[in-house]
Amino acid sequence: MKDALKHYWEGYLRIRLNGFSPERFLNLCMSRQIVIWDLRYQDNGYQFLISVKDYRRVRPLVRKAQVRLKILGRYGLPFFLYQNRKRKLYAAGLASFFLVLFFMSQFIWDISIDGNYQFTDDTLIHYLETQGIRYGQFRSEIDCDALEETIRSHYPEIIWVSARISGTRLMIKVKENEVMGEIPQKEDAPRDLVAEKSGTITRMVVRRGKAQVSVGESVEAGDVLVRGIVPIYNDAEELVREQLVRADADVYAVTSESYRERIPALTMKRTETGRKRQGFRLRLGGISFLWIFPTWGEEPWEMTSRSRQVTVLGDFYLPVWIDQIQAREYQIYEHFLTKKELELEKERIHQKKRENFVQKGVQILENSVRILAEDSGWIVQGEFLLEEQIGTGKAIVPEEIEQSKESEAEGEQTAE
Amino acid sequence: MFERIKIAAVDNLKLPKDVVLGEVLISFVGRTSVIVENYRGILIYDDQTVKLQAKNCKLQFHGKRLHIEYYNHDEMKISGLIQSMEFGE
Repeated sequence: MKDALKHYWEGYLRIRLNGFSPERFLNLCMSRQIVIWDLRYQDNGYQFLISVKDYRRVRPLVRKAQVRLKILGRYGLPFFLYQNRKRKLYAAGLASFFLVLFFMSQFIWDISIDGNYQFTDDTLIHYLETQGIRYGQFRSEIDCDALEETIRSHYPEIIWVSARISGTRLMIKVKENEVMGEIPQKEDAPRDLVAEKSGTITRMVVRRGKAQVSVGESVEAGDVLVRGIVPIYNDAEELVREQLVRADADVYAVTSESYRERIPALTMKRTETGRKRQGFRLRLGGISFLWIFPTWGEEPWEMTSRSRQVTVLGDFYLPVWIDQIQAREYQIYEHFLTKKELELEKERIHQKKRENFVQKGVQILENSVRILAEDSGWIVQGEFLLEEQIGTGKAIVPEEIEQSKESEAEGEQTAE
Repeated sequence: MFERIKIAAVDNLKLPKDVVLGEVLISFVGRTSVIVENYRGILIYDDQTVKLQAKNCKLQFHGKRLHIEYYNHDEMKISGLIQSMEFGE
């Protein structure tokens, strides 16, 4: 490849060789380091290629070997330029091509954003537009450092930005803060723990507060489990005062949970008929051209398209997009669920509910599911027996605090 | 005499013979091309025969449409349909 380019650059000749001792001529060339290539035997003579520079050195060898050389063709850049020396427009066209290429490479034709999860590409591109950065912008007008700074200051969730221009593409890489933005405030307002659901308590560990229920007791939703007002007695077992605390405990109870979900007897199903159409769309800025086979038949078509921006040399993005369109014909029909499908659907619904509980960390003790027939379909009814935490915080209302303060005051008085 | 000692030495020391003794090195790629290294010169060339002089022997390739893709001081590449090769004194 390197040699071929070098030969083209220097220019080379195709020579016909005849005479008394062609082999001697070839050996002489070899010993003088004259490079000959593509040597062929044709029509009782030889043909070979030789560079222009070497051709000037073979004259003494021709005499020595008693051969005759005849130039059959001239190739390479020097000859090409010489032959086309009068074609001024040709040269102008070539020059303008490079000029246009150079001119177009001064703009940004693609903005790629990488690493964003919270913010969509559209959001960020829209923001960039408000900052005056858009497709078709002059490359030199973009200050990457300033851009990084503005993005970081405008979006506090983005903790790291790198902007760089590669070819005609502006590449922005961001890193978002994945952990929570703020440190959660430790709450210490007094509260009670109340039951979220009704059930039978199986075990409880109280860390703060006064337990109001015991293991084995059944509670209703809303019942106080652990009180946040702790009475303090003196040695004579008289109430001295009541202290407000933030009740904290693990209270587990056996609860039951049920659900009902309808399955319609008729479902709409979609199948592809197997007929396909292909097409493509060319978009040049605001103009677009669409080529696709015309539709036939009555059925609806689903179209998907894959868009691709045209690039030159990997990084040179042109303002041209090609969409590859695939259209598939489909039919919609009504379908009665078969017994097997119904069974599968029931299993699917139940499994989903079960997974929900497992995800929450709830222990499932028992579960059952059945299907009930209905006029227009079926009902899936499932029941679960669970063991779960039922305590939930409930702030102590001001009146209660007042009451406890009063009792505190009373306690103090009695102490006096 | 000296030559024999040299060959024996090269054999015993397991030295590459093409480097030390200047023996010809021939590499075939299928039957369509062959690269010959360490040759001295071209004796005969036409589209059916290529005869080369090596240091200690002559080589002759027979075939059809033989053509020399390139040749220089060290090596030569011949392509075409190679039918046979023989060594001569």
